[in-house]
Amino acid sequence: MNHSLLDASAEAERYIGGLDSRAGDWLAERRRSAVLGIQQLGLPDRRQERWRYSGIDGLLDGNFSADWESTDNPLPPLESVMPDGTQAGLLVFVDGSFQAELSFVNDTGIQFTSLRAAMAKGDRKVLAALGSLSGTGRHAFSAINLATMQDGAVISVSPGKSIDQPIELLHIATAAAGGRMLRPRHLITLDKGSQASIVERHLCLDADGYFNNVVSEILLQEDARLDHQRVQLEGSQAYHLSEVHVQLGARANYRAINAAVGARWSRTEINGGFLAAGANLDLEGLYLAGDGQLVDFHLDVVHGVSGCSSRSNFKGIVYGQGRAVFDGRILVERQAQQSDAHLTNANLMLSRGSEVDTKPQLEILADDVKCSHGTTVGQLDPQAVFYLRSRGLSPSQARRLLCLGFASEILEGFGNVSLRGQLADHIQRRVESIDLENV
Amino acid sequence: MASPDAGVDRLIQAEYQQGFVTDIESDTLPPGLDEDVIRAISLRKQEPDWMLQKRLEAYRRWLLMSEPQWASLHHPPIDFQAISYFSSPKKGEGPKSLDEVDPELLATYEKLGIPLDEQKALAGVAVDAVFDSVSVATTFRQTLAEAGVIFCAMSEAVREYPELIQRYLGSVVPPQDNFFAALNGAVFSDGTFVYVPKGVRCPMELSTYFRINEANTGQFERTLIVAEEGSQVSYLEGCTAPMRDENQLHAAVVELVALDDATIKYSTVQNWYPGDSQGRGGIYNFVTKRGDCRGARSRISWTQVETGSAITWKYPSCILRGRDSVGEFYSVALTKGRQQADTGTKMIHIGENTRSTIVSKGISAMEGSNAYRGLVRIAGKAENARNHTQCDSLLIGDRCAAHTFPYIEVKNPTAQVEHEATTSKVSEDQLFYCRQRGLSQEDAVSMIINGFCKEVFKELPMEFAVEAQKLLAVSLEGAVG
Repeated sequence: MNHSLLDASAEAERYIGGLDSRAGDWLAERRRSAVLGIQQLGLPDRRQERWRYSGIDGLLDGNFSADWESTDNPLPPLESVMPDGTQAGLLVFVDGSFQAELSFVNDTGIQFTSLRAAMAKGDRKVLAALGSLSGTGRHAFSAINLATMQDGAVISVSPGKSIDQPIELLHIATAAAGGRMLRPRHLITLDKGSQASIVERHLCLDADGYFNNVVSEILLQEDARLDHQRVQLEGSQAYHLSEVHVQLGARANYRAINAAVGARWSRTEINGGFLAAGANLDLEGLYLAGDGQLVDFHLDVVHGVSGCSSRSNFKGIVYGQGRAVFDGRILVERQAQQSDAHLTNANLMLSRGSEVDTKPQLEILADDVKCSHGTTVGQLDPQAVFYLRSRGLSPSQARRLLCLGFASEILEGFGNVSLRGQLADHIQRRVESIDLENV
Repeated sequence: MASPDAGVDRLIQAEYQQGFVTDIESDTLPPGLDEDVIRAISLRKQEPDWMLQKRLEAYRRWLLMSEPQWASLHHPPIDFQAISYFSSPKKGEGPKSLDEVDPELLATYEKLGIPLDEQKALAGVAVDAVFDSVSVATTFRQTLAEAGVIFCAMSEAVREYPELIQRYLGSVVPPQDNFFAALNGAVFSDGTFVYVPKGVRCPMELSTYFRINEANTGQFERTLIVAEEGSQVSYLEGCTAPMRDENQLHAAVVELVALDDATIKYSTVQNWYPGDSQGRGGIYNFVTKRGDCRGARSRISWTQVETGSAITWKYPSCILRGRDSVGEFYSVALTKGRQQADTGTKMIHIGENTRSTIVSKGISAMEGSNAYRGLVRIAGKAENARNHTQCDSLLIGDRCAAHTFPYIEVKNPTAQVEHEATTSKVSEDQLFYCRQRGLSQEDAVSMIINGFCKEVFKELPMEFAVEAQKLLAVSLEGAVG
């Protein structure tokens, strides 16, 4: 398949040739192997099992460019989306580039540098870690990210430190992002026994079609604990692909909530793996797919060592011409005895024309395990709707209330109250706006 | 817990009991496949030209297809040119009655515990026994004929009921459906045809026993069951195969058609030779089974107990086209040694108020690998469709594998679809409880496994339920240390 996205190699040569000259051969080498990866992996297509429900025609038609943007454009006013400043750290990325003047880090336990700075400085430690969890990737998009990465957050939390307030990674797409592929790449390390929480938001300020291609690599060392709250609220014409790679050391604990409500097309791939016993992975998710939207979640949880547990719980609401795709894979390898792995996926279909394709998978090669998965697809209980209507609620109010009830199990997991409220409002507004004629 | 292990191992390693070879002179085509071979098969079976054309069309399609690679199965590549595509146990004309049947053949059935004449008298089951590729004995034809039920060999049906065959054969599983279905369409040797006319309740359970006997001959059975409006039929299929050291290919196609208010119940106990403990030999079983609920309120129920074959690739499916039609799939699949099974079902909901139930129980022991692969699809027009799926896997030993790959596609908001799956081993607590009530280790495990499979066994006709339990007991009883 030929597509301009595959021509990222020429773009990568530019980085190799000039932009990160100080990082030297090492980075050039990495970029070159990723360029090879782009060609070898190729663009996904629906004949591939992992992509059978998610076409990328629209994304390809967008012809998003992987060019290096100039960073001296004046920024539009961002006050409306800036958080209140009570965070332990705020790291703002506008159109994929780190904005130092809008960002701060208030806690001495947090070491932060932007990826751009680390590459320019030739920070060996950072460079060596890049791609160590993700590899070149499973498809051309992640290889493109590695080949042409430009900026991102490199965060590490010192051993034993407990960061009380969340660190916020705020991504804002502005009008300047139109027609481009943004490709931030984050590297997050929690040292032994440390604790932190990260809020990751992807927002849009009147940008037209753009493609946000995000890769995060997260390493939790022994006894570390990370609470990761992710909210995808991209623009209605945006394409969003995020890939999260998490690796857990002994007794580490990773908990993530993923809310995907924006974008025309979005796909989140979460890859979880364990390094030693006693670790726990907890993934939750909430998605809303309305008119013409496609929301796709791919989980790949690999139990490669014994004595770890994982739990995944994803819920979705679809309506209009919305489509939800869920693929949840749990692999328990031969040596991973005493694994405990559970996954559930519940879908609520509100109207005609919508579609849910769900595929939980269990691959079990060890015998002393407890594994299960469950999925449901259904609609609102007519009796519950009737009950609420008999109490004087309008059909749309009843629907709103029941949908919120359905979503609340996940919403309540958001420690950040304002984030929770914002999401709840968003869901209410959209659920209430559904055309009743088609329900 | 060391001592019970020995008993367990002994039981798990029990050699295949139905393994023996009957030496009968047979008429076999040399290995290889081309259009001439297909013409030769068709000629030998004295088929009309339209049938030959159907075969050739399927063959031409097959040439353009490639073997499916998506299943979680591993086997050396199959050389389709090394297989002989026709084997008839006897030269010359077919036997007119049991007396004409080769006594050695009858003795084979005796060894299997299914003497034909005894069955006539005892069970009231009509048996159309297929020994290799040609039907050699057909019983109870008369009784069935009185009810208007046609129950005969496919080759005979092609000659005697061409209108029915032309109308229905390939209408559920067309040759282009998949690689193995196309192969079967080209070279199918024989099989069974059942036709139940309008309003008739088939007076007895119909049953066919299959055996693969010739070395290196693929078995390509073709079964077609048509149930007219308001009719009912229950069909039993059971297989055992003698011990052989070379892999044998089995690519059967089964098509069911249920019209308005008709019910078809199809039960299988499959115990082909699974290969030895090193994974040598054993049957490769690539089967396409599909039922079409064409009529309103029709019902198709698949029940299978899969304990044999080195490789099982089988997805008995239901197309729920008629409104209020019902599809069911009940399965127990057991893999041990190096056996691999990739099995499941497809429930395609097209009509309104269609319902389906899937209950799948997988048991993996030793180095066995068991995968459930299923699809539930609710089309946009299938109002109020319902599906419930339950897949449970039981693991015995730390080198076995159990996989679950359900696909759920819903395009109608009035649908209600539920899927759940669990994987675990026989719990120590359950075992301990049974042991302290005085049960031996073996009895305790046997009881637990039988309990695990009970939901499926209760769907089997009584004759089969007994055989199925015996099979599981022989294969696995007490298989936990």
